[in-house]
Amino acid sequence: MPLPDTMFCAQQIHIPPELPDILKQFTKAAIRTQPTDVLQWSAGYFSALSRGDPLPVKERVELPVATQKTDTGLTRGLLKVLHKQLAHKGTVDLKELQDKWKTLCLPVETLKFILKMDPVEDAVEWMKFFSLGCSALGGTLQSAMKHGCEILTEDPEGGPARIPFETFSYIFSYLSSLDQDRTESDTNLFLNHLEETVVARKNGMIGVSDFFIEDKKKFHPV
Amino acid sequence: MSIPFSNTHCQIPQGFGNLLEGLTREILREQPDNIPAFAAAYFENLLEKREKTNFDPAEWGAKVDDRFYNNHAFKVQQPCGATEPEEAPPEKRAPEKDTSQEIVKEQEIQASFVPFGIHLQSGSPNVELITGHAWCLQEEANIDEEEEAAAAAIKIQAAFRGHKARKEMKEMKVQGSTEEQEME
Repeated sequence: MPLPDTMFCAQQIHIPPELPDILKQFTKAAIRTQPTDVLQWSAGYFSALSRGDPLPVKERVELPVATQKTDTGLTRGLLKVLHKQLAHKGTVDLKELQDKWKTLCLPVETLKFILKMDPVEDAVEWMKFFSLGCSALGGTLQSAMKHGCEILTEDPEGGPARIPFETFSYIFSYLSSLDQDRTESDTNLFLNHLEETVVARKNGMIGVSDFFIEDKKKFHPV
Repeated sequence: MSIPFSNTHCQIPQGFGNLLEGLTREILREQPDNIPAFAAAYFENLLEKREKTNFDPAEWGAKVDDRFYNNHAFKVQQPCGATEPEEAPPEKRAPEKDTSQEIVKEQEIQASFVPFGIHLQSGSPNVELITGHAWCLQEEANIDEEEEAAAAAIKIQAAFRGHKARKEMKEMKVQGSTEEQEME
């Protein structure tokens, strides 16, 4: 017997078998990410899902999260989400970056401010933008490097936050080159020193504690 | 909604339930083949709508959830009808008691409807209509007032003229009587 067009009871509603799971993942993502602008974020979430892109979702709840509409700064978790979404591209279109930026409910002014530090035409090298983002997170070069390590590391959270030395030196020399106070020779000296002392015994990986101590010794001789 | 004022870590974002409900309903209604694509289009559409009408279903849902604790949130949408009459200069307000009462009544009626009318938007023709109506009433009141003033002025003038005319007549009479007496 064909189904009648009129709905008589709830059993007549056909629920697509994949729908419950989609909704569940969506809800879990929303709880983890805690977006300030839920509508904007949902639109971004599903457009990423439909294209098969990495989703704009934090891996876990970030506690000092900006829940008020007024407080919408870049946080480490958000930068990590961006990194996950865009890092594999190498070079990122500014428009795409802006889209992803908006999906995470971040203000466009902050993006403009970050991009102003090293102006580019219409595409930005992701690692460069990432470095700039790190420096926006932490005021000094050291804390920027700390944020960078903690985002990029594959160590579990709270671990030594080690990253490959190549990545470290790339970010470090890029950020130092933007800083007029640091000369190139200084930077190179510091990196060489680090490479000799740290990398040889740690499998080419460098953690937060390594360069923090080294940096203090180097620039503030007691 | 979870318990307010608790410091629980996992909270559902404000108004998320409303979005989820709307999305699910539309998916069940339309039965799309590609649910993520459909959902993306659905939210894009809502975003566009928000840019045009400034109506955010998530925000609305948050308000509905929060209603028990903060009923004032619903009054924010109200003043688009109420502020304009209040801005009118105070000397105009005094004689139009009737109209202002009517406006208040209308607002009460509207307020009682708003929590149920989920589709009501701040820029909806409904509110504009009521606002317009209130303005009309006010205009009418102004016209009445002017007419009254004019009528009163005419009355006073008429009374004064009558008084003047009578005085003249009296004088004429007095003169006439003296003349008659002289004649006699």
